[in-house]
Amino acid sequence: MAKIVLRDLCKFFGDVRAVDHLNLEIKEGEFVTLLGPSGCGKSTTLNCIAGLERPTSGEILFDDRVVNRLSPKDRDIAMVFQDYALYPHMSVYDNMAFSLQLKRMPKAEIDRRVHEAARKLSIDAMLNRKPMQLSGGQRQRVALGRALVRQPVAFLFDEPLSNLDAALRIQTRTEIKALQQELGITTIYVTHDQEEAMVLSDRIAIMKDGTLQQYDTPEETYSKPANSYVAGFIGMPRMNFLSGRASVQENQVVFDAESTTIIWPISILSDQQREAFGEGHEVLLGVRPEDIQVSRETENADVVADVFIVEPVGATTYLELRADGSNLKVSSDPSQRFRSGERVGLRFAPEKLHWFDRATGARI
Amino acid sequence: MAQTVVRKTASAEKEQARLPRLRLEVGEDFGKRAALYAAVALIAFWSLAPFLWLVVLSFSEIVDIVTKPPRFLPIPLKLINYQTLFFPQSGLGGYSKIEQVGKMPSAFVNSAIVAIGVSLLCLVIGSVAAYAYARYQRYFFHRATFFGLIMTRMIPGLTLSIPFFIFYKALGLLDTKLGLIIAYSSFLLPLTIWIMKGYIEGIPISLERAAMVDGCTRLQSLFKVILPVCTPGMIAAGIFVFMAAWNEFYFALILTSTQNAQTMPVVLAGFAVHTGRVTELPTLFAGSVVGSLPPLILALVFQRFIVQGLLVGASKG
Repeated sequence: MAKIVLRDLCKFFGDVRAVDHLNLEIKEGEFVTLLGPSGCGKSTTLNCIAGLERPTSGEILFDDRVVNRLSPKDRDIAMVFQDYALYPHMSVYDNMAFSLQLKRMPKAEIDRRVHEAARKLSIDAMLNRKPMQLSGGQRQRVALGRALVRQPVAFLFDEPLSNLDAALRIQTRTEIKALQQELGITTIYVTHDQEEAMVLSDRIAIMKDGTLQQYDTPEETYSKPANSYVAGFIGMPRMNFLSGRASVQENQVVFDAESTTIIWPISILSDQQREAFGEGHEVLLGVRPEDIQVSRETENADVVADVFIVEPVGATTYLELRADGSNLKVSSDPSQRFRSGERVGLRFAPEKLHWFDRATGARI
Repeated sequence: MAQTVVRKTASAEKEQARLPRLRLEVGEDFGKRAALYAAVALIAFWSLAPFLWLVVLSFSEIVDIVTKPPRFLPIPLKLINYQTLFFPQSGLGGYSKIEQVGKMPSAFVNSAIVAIGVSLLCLVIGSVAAYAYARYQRYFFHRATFFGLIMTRMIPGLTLSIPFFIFYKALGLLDTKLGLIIAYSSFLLPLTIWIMKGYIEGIPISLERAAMVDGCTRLQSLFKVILPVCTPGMIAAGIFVFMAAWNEFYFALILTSTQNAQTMPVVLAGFAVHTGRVTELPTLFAGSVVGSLPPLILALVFQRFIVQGLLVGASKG
């Protein structure tokens, strides 16, 4: 187990800044996810940590020891790849034993570890098979097993679930979390799936264009996104954004969109927000679908909208609404049975509004 | 070209499998099939006929060959040519033929040493070089030298024979097996690298990364993981090189002069040149059949790998 620290990590490929001054501290035994769209630099970061790429500048520390110049084999980490990267010419047993054999570990100990890991992953019946003879899910388990037998200082996962079908993905996700909790090994997990990140992580590092956007617990990234980018990325369905002008007028906060004006008591704002809004400030108002109350009552509504598309998913029904030229997504109680074409009134939960600067996207 | 044809047929088969089977279009189906088989038969005949004719001739006496009207099958088959080949003293024919036949065993051994030597050398150097070319294509140096290597394939071998001769004379490599091995490698190595590069490009980079994370050095990951996975490609490339080296005639003719290094094609040609008599030709035919056996057996044993190896290479190369 190790504490892993990235200090001003940069990795440039020619003119492309894949990773740009990244600072990150991963505590011992922590499960951290690097989250972002493809091309945001998360996999490059992981490869730098693994030693597969050499950073352009900056430092990588394992337990306060700079490992920049160490080759992957000397870092004592285990990695699971998106395509599993099983050795096709070796049996499942040999795939799992390979790293231990390279360490010249005694045969009996290798045997014990491989069988223990195989039992844990329920692949003990397949030890003599070749990877070609396994299903996708089984291959994934072998890849996990190969990492498990190592008892490494850290696990690195590079989108390990993206090649599995939805049901298997959710099942394996739970198993990975259980394994990590049981073993307590520092884990860095790369994914573009925000749900996966939320479910698995102790902390999430959200990246965009090689830079870190926010590094916080899943709860915090969800409830207090650092900027509009994070706000849009975390949470499914996506947060709704209304652009307009916010100002403080006589103990009230006034939000002016094109043809809509919404007024709340000033108490919903923090001191900082009051100061920022003052005479008027161009903002993006973010509100999550689940923080909007929708009813057929349009009298006292914040916004009046027309139901456009109804999407029942079981426990809830999502409504795609059109109001004031922009689209909004809200979740509603299935028992309300809204139909498309209906006119509805929306009330935003005032304590759950997110205010962002329109120009910079930063949270106010 | 050959690879493209194979791939097209495979996709055509898939296409056919997708066709609705409920409507029994027997006529059309049969017509297509018949056309396909006819084409295959034609190509097979085109390629095989000369060789089969050689085999037939090797079982003939000169009388059977020159007789009019021509006899296509000498019945009964005559083993006299093979007898002359393997037991020269017992056969018919003059001193020159016996002398020429006497060169056969050493020529066979020379050919084997040269062909195996070239194959091993090309595989060892070629696969490592191909790995470098496959994985470091973003560097100008690698792209430029690879282009250079491929360019050497465009130069007609004929133009190189005189420089080779002069160099070899100076270096004392004339009439040596080592000389032949070096000469053949110079133009078969680029071919090996090209085939292997295509093959290695088809192997996901994560495989060697996994190996390195598991504790391999880069070289270990190459030898313990990448190359074992490349076995089909290496076998395919190896057989190509072996056959090219085994069959090569022109350089062998120019660079060798005695039994020390003369290979099968040179000695076989000698039957026609040195004995100078048409009556000795059947022995040449028998010798040719024997000479074509090693590459034939090799190709039959490993044919599975040849197709597999070249297809993977082709899809990425």
